[in-house]
Amino acid sequence: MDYKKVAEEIIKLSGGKKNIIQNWHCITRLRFNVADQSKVKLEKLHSINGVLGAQFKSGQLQIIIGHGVEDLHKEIDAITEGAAHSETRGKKSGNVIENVLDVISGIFTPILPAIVGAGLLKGLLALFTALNLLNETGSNYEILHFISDATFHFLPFLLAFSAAKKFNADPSISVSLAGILMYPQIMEYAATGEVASLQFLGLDIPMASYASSVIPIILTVWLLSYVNKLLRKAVPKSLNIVFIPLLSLIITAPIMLKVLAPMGMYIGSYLESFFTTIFSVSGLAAGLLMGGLMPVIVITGMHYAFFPSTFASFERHGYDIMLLPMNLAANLAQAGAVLGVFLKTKNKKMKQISFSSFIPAVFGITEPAIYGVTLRLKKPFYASLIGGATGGAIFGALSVKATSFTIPGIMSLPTYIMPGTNNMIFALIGVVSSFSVALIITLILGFKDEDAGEISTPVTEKENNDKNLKQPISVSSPISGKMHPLSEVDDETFSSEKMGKGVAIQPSEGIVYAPFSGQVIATTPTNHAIGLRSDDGVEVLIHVGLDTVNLKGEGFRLLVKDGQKIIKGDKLIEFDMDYLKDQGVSPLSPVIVTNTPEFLEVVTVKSNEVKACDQKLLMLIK
Amino acid sequence: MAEKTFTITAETGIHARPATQLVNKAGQYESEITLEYNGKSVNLKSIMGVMSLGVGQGSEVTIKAEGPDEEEAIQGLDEIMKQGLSE
Repeated sequence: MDYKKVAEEIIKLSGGKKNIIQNWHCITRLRFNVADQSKVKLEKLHSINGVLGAQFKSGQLQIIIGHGVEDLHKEIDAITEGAAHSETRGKKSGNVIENVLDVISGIFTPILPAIVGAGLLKGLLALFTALNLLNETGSNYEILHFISDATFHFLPFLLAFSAAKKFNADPSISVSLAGILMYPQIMEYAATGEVASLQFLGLDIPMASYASSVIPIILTVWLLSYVNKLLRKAVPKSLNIVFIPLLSLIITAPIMLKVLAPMGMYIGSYLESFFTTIFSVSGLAAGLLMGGLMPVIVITGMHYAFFPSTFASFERHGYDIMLLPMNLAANLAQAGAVLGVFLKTKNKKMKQISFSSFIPAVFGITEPAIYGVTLRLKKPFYASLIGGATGGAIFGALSVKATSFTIPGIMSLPTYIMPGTNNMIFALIGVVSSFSVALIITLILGFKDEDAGEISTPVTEKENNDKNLKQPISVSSPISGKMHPLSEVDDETFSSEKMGKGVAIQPSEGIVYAPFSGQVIATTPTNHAIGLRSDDGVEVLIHVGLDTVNLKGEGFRLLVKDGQKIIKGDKLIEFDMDYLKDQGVSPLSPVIVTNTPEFLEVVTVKSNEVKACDQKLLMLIK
Repeated sequence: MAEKTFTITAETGIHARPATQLVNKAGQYESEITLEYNGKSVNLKSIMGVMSLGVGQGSEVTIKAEGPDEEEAIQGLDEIMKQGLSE
């Protein structure tokens, strides 16, 4: 076959290369997605020498080639210039920034309850001390400060747990890595400045504080997921349990401490000298950029790089014109944006969450606002950047000065009072501008309101947790008989728990009952197994006997249909125990929770004899 | 997207044991992987889905993978298929 000629012919008869949006192949066929099906001449495609057939199947043009399809596809590819091989690319690329934002806000969603709760407490603390209801040096304040600050201080731990879920990495290793990142000795070295770095295998590991950092641990867990994957391939199965965790830690932790964690600092220090330079040229331009980029700088932890120069500036001039004023503008813009969301959203949960994150944002604690609201809805986040840029530009142009180091919220405004200057008035103008610009732009741009069901808020999550913690889901036995642990089943498929956790039952009666109300979700042609899903989402596979697939349905009677709704106690399968015995087949029946990973815990209830539908067999905790 | 079609030669089709092997293998990949049989497409990472197809001897099934490691996924699953399930 002259592949090139055939390829040209095929493309011509498929409506030309512009008509082929996507092309790929399987072992026998070329598969095209075409823009316009009417341009494809099926009949003529059939008659090409080398083409066995052509058809449209589920909207896809399939050209059956048989042998040589791979070589032919290469030619097609060359002519179409590799026009989109696979469908995935289009979906995945899109907008890199949006994807990154999606990943970050996806990681924050599960830990929002803690952030919103602690953030609100922080806001209230600031309010109470401002109103002189609480003494900042008293022990009550101190304890409340511990309570409200821990979530933020130890943010890497919360993120490790959540990122582990997101990237499918081992949660215990991920959290341990967060512990390494914030190891007390490292923190102490960083705080006292005694030890700047420690040598490890010839590499200088910087001693820095990563308290409250976001990006370092996310990148680390991401790396861990890949390290894990590689190790699973490289390490022999029998050594898995010991060596994969060991190697994961010993490989990932140094990379984290040397490369991933300090990256923000490195980039930040360049950013710092960059901004210092522009500030000396144009305050307006510098403020515009820095006020606008502040949330991004904070998320990536680059603001730490600004601390030395901020403190130096206080020492030298008695004020700061960069970090604190810009942060103030950015924070109030964040507050404006969440207020906009609060006013505009029709989603009740979003209304609650945006309001409860608005209060701390006003006092300069913006994590709940950023991670719970604006970043998730995206457009309000952009609006907050514009607001911050506006306020930042005003601050920069008027060189507004902060006279002491405080949390950049409205309570810090008194630190802008400089007798004999307009500094305070300028500060107010900047704050009000960034707040109202962010608010107005949020209202104008709008955002896609999340569906009520999609968004998980602290309130509903709490409710769910409470419900499920108090009431584990229980599954009764589907068969009467004697209970055995899965490990006693003489079939590795079941005993290894590869299919999921569960138990096995040595039946005393040849009937399988519905152990809960729900639906039949799987039947097999040989009727020896049945899959069920309970109304609360437990998926159970009941496999009657071992190797019973060999009986080809003989001795089994299925009493329900696939997809049928079932009520607890319904008869599902009848089986002939004597026949199984005659055939030399073990009737020991595994009952497996096939969606085990969806539960925190699947516990086997210890008992000996069980009666169908009566005794509890399994307890599941979601 | 990568895909491959198999004819099931195992006498008992894709029952619990081979289904588990396939699902476990599929779970090692990031790609979305589906098993198609008789016009029905199920998630190859779900045991229940695979069991519910009730694939018998002589059936033709197609595995499709879509994602960053789709080629490796098909290759890995191909190895499992060759272990007595398909030729």
